[in-house]
Amino acid sequence: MPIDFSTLPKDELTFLKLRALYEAAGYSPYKMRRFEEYSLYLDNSSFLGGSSVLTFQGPGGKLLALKPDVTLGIAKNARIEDDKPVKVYYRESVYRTDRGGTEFREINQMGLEYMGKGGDGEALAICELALRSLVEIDEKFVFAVSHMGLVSALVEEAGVTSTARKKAVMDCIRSRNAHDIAAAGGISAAAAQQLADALVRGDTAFPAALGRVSKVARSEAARFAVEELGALYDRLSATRYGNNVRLDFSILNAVDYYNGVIFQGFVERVPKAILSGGRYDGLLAKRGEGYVATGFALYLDELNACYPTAREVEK
Amino acid sequence: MTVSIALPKGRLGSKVYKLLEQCGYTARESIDDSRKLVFENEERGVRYFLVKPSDVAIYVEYGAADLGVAGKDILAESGADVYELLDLGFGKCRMCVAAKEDYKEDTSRPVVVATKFPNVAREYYSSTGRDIEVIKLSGSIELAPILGMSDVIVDIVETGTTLRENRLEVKEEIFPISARLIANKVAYKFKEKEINEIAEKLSGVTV
Repeated sequence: MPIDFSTLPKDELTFLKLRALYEAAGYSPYKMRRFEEYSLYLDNSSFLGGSSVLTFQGPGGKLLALKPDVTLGIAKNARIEDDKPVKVYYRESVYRTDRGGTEFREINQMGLEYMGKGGDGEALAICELALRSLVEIDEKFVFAVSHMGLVSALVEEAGVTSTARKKAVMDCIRSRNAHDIAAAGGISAAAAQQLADALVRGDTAFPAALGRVSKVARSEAARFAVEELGALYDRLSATRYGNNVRLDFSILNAVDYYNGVIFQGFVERVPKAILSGGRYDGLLAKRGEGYVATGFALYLDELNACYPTAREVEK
Repeated sequence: MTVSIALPKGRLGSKVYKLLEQCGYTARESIDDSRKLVFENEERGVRYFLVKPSDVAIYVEYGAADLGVAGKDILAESGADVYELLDLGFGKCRMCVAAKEDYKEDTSRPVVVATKFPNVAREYYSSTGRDIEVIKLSGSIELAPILGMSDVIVDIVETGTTLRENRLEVKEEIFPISARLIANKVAYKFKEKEINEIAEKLSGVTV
């Protein structure tokens, strides 16, 4: 009897489509242990963005944790060889608290990670894979791109130096709040306006937004980031989804963790980001120089409520 | 594309609606003289919801409304993950720490804080490195230090008259408050042109 795919919930259907997409791109499936030593998450707490970890004592007395994240586990356990990068995709449950920190949730997550020596080109390829993942879910999507290095460089160039002030300015950028930047950063109205014009105001059409930001990118780090974003847009606009790609500096998350291009994916039906990722070389810094790490996660849980199956629609 | 706007019931909502009306975003019927909660004008591409002021940010964050108007106090307390597009410049007041005029802080124990805004209070005192004990109240906050229930209060101060009448005074200002135009982050990505047009027009009639 042929399989009736119309009865499959959206998360299952998406998993099947994306598995084929990722395997065709040379990625292998990766299965994680359900729990890890708690110390792994304690040592990388900034990466988890303050989310609590569900812990319990293992048989040997060690404190274990139900994994709140997949990337840290892969970075710790995968064998990364100089001539053989880790290229994996996964589907796992992770356990985190909600924003208020009051309740733990099991989150059904799919994702993809690249970790290896060199591989700037692969980082671009992963962005395209992320975009193509959104296409498989819904062609009405927005792929929003930003660059952590560029945002940090421009905030510093504006004269914001203390950690607390930087965080406050990043919060303003994250909430498209141009009016509070001067007070948050303790900088002049003129410097705040220049920062807001580059990173907050104006439309997010990629070429226009890149043009605005390149006018104020003076430092070497900022110029390099602008070039990187330009190369990424060239690659993504060669697909037929160039209009879906936006340069949107408000998509800041895990500020201490990402160091390069970051991105998020949105579909019209779901009122929150369903895809989130970027470049996080810092996680491999202990292994030495020259390692590149890029990846993304898709939050499959969000899909089923917003995309009923054909049978559910009939009912 | 229709943009849905959550307005706070009451004076603030009426004021914002009048400004939106001035910008051409009428609801076809008066929102003041009705028990209806939803008003739509397809021609103008707007739909209004009237909701409890403290719920506006929630409606916007969860995508039930694309835009909304909420005070900075509510945004700071809820920590809603929304865009804050515009400072509308009215509904101005201050979030303050206030205490009895003769209050002397006892640094040998945590400060007891009575407030409607526990998250704001915790964040403020955490930034100063001071340990606190929070008593959450829903109203008449000024009573708490008078009756000796708390050392200080963290509350909104408009003119300071209520504080003075109760022999309290502002000890610290935490942040200024005014009404803000907020947007759902995903709606903004799909209705950027429409939302920015509303924000720009509103900015033209409020500044």
